[in-house]
Amino acid sequence: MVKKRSRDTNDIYLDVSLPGILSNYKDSDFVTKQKVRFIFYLIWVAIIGTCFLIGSTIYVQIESVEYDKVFYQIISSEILLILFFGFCQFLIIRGRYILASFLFISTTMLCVWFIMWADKGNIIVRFDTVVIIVALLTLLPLIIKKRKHAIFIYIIANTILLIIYAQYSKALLNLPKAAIFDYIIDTSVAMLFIGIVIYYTHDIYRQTLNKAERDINNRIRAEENLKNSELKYTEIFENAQIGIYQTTPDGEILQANPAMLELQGLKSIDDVKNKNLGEVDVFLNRNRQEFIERIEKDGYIKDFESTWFKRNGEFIIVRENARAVRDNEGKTLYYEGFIVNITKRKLAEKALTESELKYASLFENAQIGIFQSTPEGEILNVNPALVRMLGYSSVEELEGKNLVKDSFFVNASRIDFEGLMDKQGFVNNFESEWKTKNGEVIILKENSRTVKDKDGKVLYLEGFLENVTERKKIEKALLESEEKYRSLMENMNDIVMLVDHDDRVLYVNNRFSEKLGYTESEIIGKIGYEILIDPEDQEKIIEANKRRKSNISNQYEAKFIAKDGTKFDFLISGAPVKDSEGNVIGSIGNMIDITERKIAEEKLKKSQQLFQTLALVSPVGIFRTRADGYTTYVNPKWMKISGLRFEEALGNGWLKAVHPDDKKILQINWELKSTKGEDSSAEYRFIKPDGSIVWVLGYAVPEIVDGRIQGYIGTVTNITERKIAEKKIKESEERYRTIIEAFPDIIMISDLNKNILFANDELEKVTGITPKDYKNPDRKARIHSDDMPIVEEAIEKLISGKETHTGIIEVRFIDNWDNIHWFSGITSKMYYNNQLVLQYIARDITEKKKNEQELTKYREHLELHVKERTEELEATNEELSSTNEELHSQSEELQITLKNLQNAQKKLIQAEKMASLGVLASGVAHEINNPLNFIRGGAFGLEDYLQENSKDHLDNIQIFIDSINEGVERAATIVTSLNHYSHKDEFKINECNIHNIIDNCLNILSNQIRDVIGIEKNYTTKNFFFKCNEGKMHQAFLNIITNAVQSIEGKGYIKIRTKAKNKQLQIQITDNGCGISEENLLKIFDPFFTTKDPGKGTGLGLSITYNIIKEHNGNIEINSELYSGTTVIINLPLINK
Amino acid sequence: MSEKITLLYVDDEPTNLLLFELNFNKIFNILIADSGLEGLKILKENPQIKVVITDMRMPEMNGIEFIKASKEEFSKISYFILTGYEIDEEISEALKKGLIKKILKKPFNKKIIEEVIKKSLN
Repeated sequence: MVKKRSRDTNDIYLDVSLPGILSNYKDSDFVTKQKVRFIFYLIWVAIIGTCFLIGSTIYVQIESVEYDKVFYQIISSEILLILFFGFCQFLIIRGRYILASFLFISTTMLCVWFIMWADKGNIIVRFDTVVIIVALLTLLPLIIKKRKHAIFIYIIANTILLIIYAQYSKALLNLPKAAIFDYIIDTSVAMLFIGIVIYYTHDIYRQTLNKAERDINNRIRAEENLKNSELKYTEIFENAQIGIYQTTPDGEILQANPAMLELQGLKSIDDVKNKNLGEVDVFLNRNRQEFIERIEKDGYIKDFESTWFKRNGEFIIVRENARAVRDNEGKTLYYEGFIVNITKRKLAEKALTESELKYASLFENAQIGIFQSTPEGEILNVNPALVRMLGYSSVEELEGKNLVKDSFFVNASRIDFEGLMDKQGFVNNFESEWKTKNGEVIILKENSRTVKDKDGKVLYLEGFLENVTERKKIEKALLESEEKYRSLMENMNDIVMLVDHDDRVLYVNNRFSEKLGYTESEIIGKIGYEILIDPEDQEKIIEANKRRKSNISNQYEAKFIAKDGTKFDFLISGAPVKDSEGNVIGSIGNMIDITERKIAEEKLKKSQQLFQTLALVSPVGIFRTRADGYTTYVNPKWMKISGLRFEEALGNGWLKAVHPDDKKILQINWELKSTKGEDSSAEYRFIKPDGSIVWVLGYAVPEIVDGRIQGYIGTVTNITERKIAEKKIKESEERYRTIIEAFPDIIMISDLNKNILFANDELEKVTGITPKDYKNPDRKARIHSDDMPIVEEAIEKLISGKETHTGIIEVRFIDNWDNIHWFSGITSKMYYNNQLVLQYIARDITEKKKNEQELTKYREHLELHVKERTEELEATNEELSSTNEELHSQSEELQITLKNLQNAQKKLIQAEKMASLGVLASGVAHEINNPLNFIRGGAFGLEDYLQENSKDHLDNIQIFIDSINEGVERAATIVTSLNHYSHKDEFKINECNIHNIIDNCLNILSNQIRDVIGIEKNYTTKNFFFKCNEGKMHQAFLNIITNAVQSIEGKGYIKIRTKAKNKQLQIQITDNGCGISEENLLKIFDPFFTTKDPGKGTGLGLSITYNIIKEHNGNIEINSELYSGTTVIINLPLINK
Repeated sequence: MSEKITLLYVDDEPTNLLLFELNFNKIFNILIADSGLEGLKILKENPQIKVVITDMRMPEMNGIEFIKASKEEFSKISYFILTGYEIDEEISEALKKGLIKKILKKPFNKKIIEEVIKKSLN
């Protein structure tokens, strides 16, 4: 270690001590000081010298022979010189020593030369003057500092002065030329030589001086440096952060600086000084051996890092630079080293390295995508996971792309991202939809943040992305599935219960509450079976639950008790509920209410037993088939009837026993009925194996369960005997029928309620009673009401009495066509099917009766006629006798009047009859037609408007418009018809052909008649003349024929017959339509009476027809029987031609 | 049809006039008059009228009277009666004489009127 050296005094510095008066030069350099001191003292010497000179001069002059006196010029110059010298001295003191020097020399020289000039007589004097000058010249180097050439100026100037002086003196002195020349040359050479010497002396002197000064300065600087350096090193040593030490190779500590001590945790060097390292508890290098080896080998060691340990294991990491200090012989004296504690840095580095490694590894291998991007979205860095996520093949492919611009996102799914980043600088678990390279959409969960520098400037964005697409999908699917199952459970028709291991209820569905009456809160958390299960079944449940715990599903039935006490039979399907690891954590039960099924099963069982029993003992054959007709069962009786064995009958085997003639029909009938699920019955024959034939009545009904045909059950009854009996009866019946049918009188059997049980054809022929009227006690054909009591009395008597017959009874009978017949008949009582019935035998005696009546009428008429005649005759006689003449004269007039009266009367009657209707009709017609015109016009307009503007609406409204039009049409028709009543004026009558009129009407109606109605015309061939109003007559017949046509439903006929006799034209129109009831027949001519459907008729047709016929002086008669037909008979008067 | 036929309709009922006009103004050029006198006035002002349809019963002058009056001056026009009344002698007479071409009945039937008028003009 460097030995501490005290700072020495400044004894090496050279200095010139100057008189105090020269204080101006105390800071000047050494040389200047020397010069100044020299010149200062020199001038003093010169002053003193000059003083002596003055004395000597004065002495010489006084003493000398030649002079004898004092030359004042000389003395004064010398005194002047002294004054100059004084001035020079003054200048020096003032610090202007160079000026003073030159002034001194120049003055001195001039003075010398002046003296020489003044005292030119003495050559010797002159010569010494030269010496003085030369002497003065030698002074020059002392004073010249820079302008050393001034030396030569002085020399040349002095030489010139010498030459001038010599030239001048030669004459004076009388010296030869040669001597003067020689003098000048010698003196000049001498002066030149002196000049050169002086110059170089000055130069050498100057350079020497400079060097000496430089050396001194260098030394002074070096010493200064040394001093400073030593100071510095001491400071470094003392204050260095680096530990500095000196140790012996054996480890003895020689020196240690405070940093080293601090490093070792020591306070003073004394704690360790000169101690062996082994003796103190300090940090020691365990690798000291390596250190020594290396330092011994190379003499130094550089950046040697080692870990030093204390005994307690505490350690530091250090780096040292050291060298071995050796003596001349190469023996190591000690080691000198510098040491730095790098523990913290090392540890930090290590931590950093580990963290970096960790980070890099994480970045490269993370399953999470990581990116760094500029705030504008440009990708700076991505990890392989993100590359994979986005479907790219390499990191390079993604780098440089822009997250925002290169459409990595689906539409606007990441818009919020920027907002959030701007607002809070990060996003957590932000989910957005990204697009992969191939366009697939994935959902990424993102945790990103902006990374900022300390000024808050955004450096980049950093994000961590997790692909949650699958998870989302699964979540969604899970959610949906859960929802589905939940919904399923909730809405299940079955009860679902979930219980844990302790049989505590965890869940019940809606159905549970509905069925058992317990609300969720009432049951959840309770032990289910204790509350719900019938005590007798509880053991069963406990057992089942135990088994389920051991992961066994099971199914069993148990009785449940609802809250209100109702008991239900449930079919329970239980299954263990497992957690995700497959551990059984409870059980789920699915319960179906089988109460009804149980009851049904019970019933079925009973019913089956019953069926079985019945089938076995049944006296009829019983069979059962499937829905497709396949026979599954026959009972013993069936087998007996058919002769087939059980096995033979199954399937379609039973058909083998059926008689070949019946097989086909039976099979068709069976298939037809059975496929429709209808009852079926049939009579058919079996041929038994022994060849005998058995007639059976088969009857089958479908077994329908829940609206579906399950099969058929049928019976087979042996009807062979009945069949035989029937046959016999039929034969017998045939015989009797033939007789009865041929019987010319009506034979009829009826019950007591007037229902006809049987009648021969004669009944229909005579009365029009058809078989469909048999069961109608109110049929039209009937006994005249006046004669009814007779019949009723007779029958009563017959029934109550013992007699089997009544006597012959004659009664009037109104047939179906309202013709009155006279019947003569006998009624007998008899039993028919155990029922008391009446048998009638009747004969039509109408003709006979009619003849009788006509005879009576005629007789009465004759009597009346006679009476009238008589009266007439009497009156005439009277008149004749009194007004004979007058009568004669006025007979023509009277006739006319009479005719007029008759006409008036006719009109009056008609007017009276039609008064109300006619007047009303004529007045109202116009008034109704006008509003109808409005309606019609309005409807047309509406239809048009809609047609143009709103076709769609028209389709919807058309029906309304049609209704309006239909209404108008009907109203208009009625009004038109009413007009017929209003004719008061005479109508024209022409001769016309009635047959043509009828034919015209038929033509008009031809489309209504079509082919289904046959028209049978039977026109008279007689010639006759007929006059009528053709139009009206057309209308009359049109009405009648229209009615006939409309009365016929389906097929029918209309017969038209004309007859002309006795000035009468008779037109008879007969149809076989629906007929008119007796009641309606009375109203048939009433205005507005109609039986037609609304809109089909006005009810005015026949009323008008009636009027027309009456107007033509004819009459009209209508006969009709309900369901049989109607006959209209019109009689019109013919006129003679 | 290059141009619509001009038709005069005479009726004392304003509603009839209105509805007639509305229903036929697409097919014909309709002029209306609420009386025979008004009708004559319009006929004089509109020589292009080719068809006249008139109600029968109107105050002051009935349909036939109106037609008779106008026929003297405008013999080429086709005349029609549109009436809610039963055809009486007067009308039958007019038809027979050719005074009117046809009798139309109220409530009117649009199609029939249209056809009849077109037929009468051909």
